[in-house]
Amino acid sequence: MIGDDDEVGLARLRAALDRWAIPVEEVEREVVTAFGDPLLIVATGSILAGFGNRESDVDLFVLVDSDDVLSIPVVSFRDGARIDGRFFARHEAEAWPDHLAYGGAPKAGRGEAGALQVQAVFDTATRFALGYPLAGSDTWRAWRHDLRRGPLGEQVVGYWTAQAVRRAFTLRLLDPAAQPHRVWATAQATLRAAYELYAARRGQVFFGDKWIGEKLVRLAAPELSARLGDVLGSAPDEADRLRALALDEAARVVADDGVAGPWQVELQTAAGVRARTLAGRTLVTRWELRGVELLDATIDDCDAGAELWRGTPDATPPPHVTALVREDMLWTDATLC
Amino acid sequence: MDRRDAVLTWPDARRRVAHVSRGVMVILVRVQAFLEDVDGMWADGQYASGAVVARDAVLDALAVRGIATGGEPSWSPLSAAFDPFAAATPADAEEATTLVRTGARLAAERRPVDDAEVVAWRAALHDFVAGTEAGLGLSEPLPVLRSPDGMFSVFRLARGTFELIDEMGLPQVLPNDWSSTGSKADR
Repeated sequence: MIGDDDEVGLARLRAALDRWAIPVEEVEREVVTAFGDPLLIVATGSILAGFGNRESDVDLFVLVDSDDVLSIPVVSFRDGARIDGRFFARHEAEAWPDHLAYGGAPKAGRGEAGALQVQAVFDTATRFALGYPLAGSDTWRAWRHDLRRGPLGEQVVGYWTAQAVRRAFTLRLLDPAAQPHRVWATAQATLRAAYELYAARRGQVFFGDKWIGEKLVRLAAPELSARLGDVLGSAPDEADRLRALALDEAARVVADDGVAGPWQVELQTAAGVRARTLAGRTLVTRWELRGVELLDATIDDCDAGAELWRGTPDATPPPHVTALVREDMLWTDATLC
Repeated sequence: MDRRDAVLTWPDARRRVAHVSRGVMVILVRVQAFLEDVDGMWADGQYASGAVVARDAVLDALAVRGIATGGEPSWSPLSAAFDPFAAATPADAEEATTLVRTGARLAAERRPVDDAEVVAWRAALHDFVAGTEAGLGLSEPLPVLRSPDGMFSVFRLARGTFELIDEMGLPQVLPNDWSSTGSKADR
């Protein structure tokens, strides 16, 4: 079972709404019915997860029995409170289990578009699971209950394992001497993914890595908090040390808390990338705005999504492929073998 | 950019469109929210998270600036190889890293929201974002998305833009969390 008891979520919701003198019972009235009668309305977000603050809004996630829902937030303001409504079609929720299994390549598809869809599913499913049900049929209340009791927690662990593996792989290919600022920023991102994995393994599955600082406080992990502060607070000219720190931490957390592998990394041409031949050399462009020419190797003409390399996370691709990673021309995926 | 008579001229119109379209959406959807988060987190003593979010705001704003001068216009929170410093000027890179590092130090010291140095740092964060917005060269200030009429203002601003970037083969700019979690083909 993931998340706190519903009574805890309700108490957090009441405490937040008290600031604006809004009764809990009236919140669901903010849900528009233009997309049909709701099957389930869940109050969710950082407030319900226990991280909310005075700037936080209340999220209402609404499941409707309709194919045509507006996917952008429907925002309402009431007595100073900001209430964000998000609508999801029933068929979306029924497809989520296929995306949540982060084993092989995501069903959503390869590359960034598929990864973003998987991320959106994790974000949405965990918010439904961790929120408080304001209204809904018995069937869909039971669906949410099953979501909390099922494998979602372990699937979130798998998600963050993949993120830590792919971030660390990329960080290892970067050159601290040539690009210290980039290594500085990538070390931060790698450490955050690793610590999200650490937190998820210990039950902190609320999606949104902006809360990693509070998760580590909640988990009483001062050493990890200190390391996170170190990589944020150090200068880019310490890029060598920061890279080593982030790689060591990622390897340790993946080994201790991650979903067991073996994992593999796949590099494919990123969105907007095209490879063509120019005077005997390969010219790789992105959005026709940036380009690099390969001097010592060629690749076949291709568009976005072409696989260029696949290997274990500790392997090193050929120099021209590594160069394309460094030029942000490739998308990195990490999947279980 | 070159200002002559009553027009602005651009040596690379594709890059101009990429800069404006991506820059507007990143500031409206991500950076504005990050700045609100930093204020709320700091006010409630959530210092470590405040420093993390400030870092995200700064690097997003820096990356927007870089689009105008050769940077990659397409990135997401999942982009492992994206380099927000790729086309940054040395001055911008220095300012950005100083803002991030200062936030981390103030968080470690648990300085309260009304501490003079925190006040100055938050003002500098807002100034950095305001400078990024000014660099877009828009004819009027961006609306605040998370305000009662924010979404309508955005739709007005975006009118025609989605079609234009589609025609030019540039990256779409709608944020991931505004997209559906599943297509009808999933059924």
